[in-house]
Amino acid sequence: MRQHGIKQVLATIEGLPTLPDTLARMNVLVSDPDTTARQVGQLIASDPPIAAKTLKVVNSPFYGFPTRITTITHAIVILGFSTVRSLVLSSSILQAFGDKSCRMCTKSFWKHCVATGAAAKVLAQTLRYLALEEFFIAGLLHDVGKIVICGYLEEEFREIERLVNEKNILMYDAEEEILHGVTHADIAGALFEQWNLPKGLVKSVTYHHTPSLAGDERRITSILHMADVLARALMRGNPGDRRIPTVDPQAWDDTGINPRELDHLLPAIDEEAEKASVFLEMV
Amino acid sequence: MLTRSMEELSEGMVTKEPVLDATGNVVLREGIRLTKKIITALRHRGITSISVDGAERQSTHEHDDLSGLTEAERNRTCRQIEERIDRIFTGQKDGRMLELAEAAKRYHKSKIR
Repeated sequence: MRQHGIKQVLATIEGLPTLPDTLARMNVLVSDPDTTARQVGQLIASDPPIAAKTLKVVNSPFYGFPTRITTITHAIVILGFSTVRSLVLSSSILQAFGDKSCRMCTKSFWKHCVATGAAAKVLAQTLRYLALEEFFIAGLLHDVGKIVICGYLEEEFREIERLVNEKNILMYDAEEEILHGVTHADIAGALFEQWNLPKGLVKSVTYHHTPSLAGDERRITSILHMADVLARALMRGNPGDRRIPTVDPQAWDDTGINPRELDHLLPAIDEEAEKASVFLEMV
Repeated sequence: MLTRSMEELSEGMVTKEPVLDATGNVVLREGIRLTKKIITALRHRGITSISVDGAERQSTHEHDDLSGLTEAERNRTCRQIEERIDRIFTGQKDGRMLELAEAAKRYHKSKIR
């Protein structure tokens, strides 16, 4: 029933961005075990804006390499396929949504997303995960559904904003009321699924407010869920409402994060978010 | 000049542009110094963000250099941050969330002190 509602909402949206071409071709390439770094490098280099953005991040304090990396192939050799793919993924999606002229799409909104990405990365590092970029990207993109609502469902967005202000509630709760149970999390998840993005990303974004429902991706979703809350506590940027969601008790247990650790985690996240601010230049 | 969301506003900021409501009516002229009462009234009218001057001291993250702040300004900024955190955490009863609120206050204040 809920799935039907999400499809219905998506069906009413006209002109929704399609999967960026470079990303679509890259997904095909990386699924082939015989693909070489050179082939991926050539593909990315054939899209100059994406290549430039990727190199900008690679050479930023986010990675902090002592020498300058000037080619995508060099970046792939140093960072690996998976990391470069994550960077292309974020550049492509920020390019697709970043210039959408809507009230939600402000530097302040993206600042919250970058902070959430930084928090997810720091939490994942604390919990000894390896693919840290994937956590960062999930945080960076977790609220893309808000841009979709604001940019493509303008009337509903105005109602959501009104409810958020009148009742001082989370956007998530206002969306459920106005969009009949569908939220920005569902919309972004459905869109990412349509684009064949990695399952972990789809699930964690879909359930970042309800991590207990994320099934086999529950632990990574709990990290994203908690990251959103920690970014809000740091007051970096503007998520579109003035409340903080309560961390799902299951998420505290799943991550094993103890509130006593917060005094160390908050400064580490703030510092990581500062390093990641190069992503704000992509939008 | 900076565009600030409602939760980023605080007393003393000055409107840089007229503030319009959803129907295009001017609800506040430019050059008006914000008070708590005005901010509440704007919120009730559904205003979500406004352009202001003097916003650079309202968030610890925009503080590249705090060395120029007087003791009184530091105290005032600390109070404003505590108030903002209390607002964000309004209604939270979960013990771990309250611990998070306190940790956030400690961290933000440590950046200012």
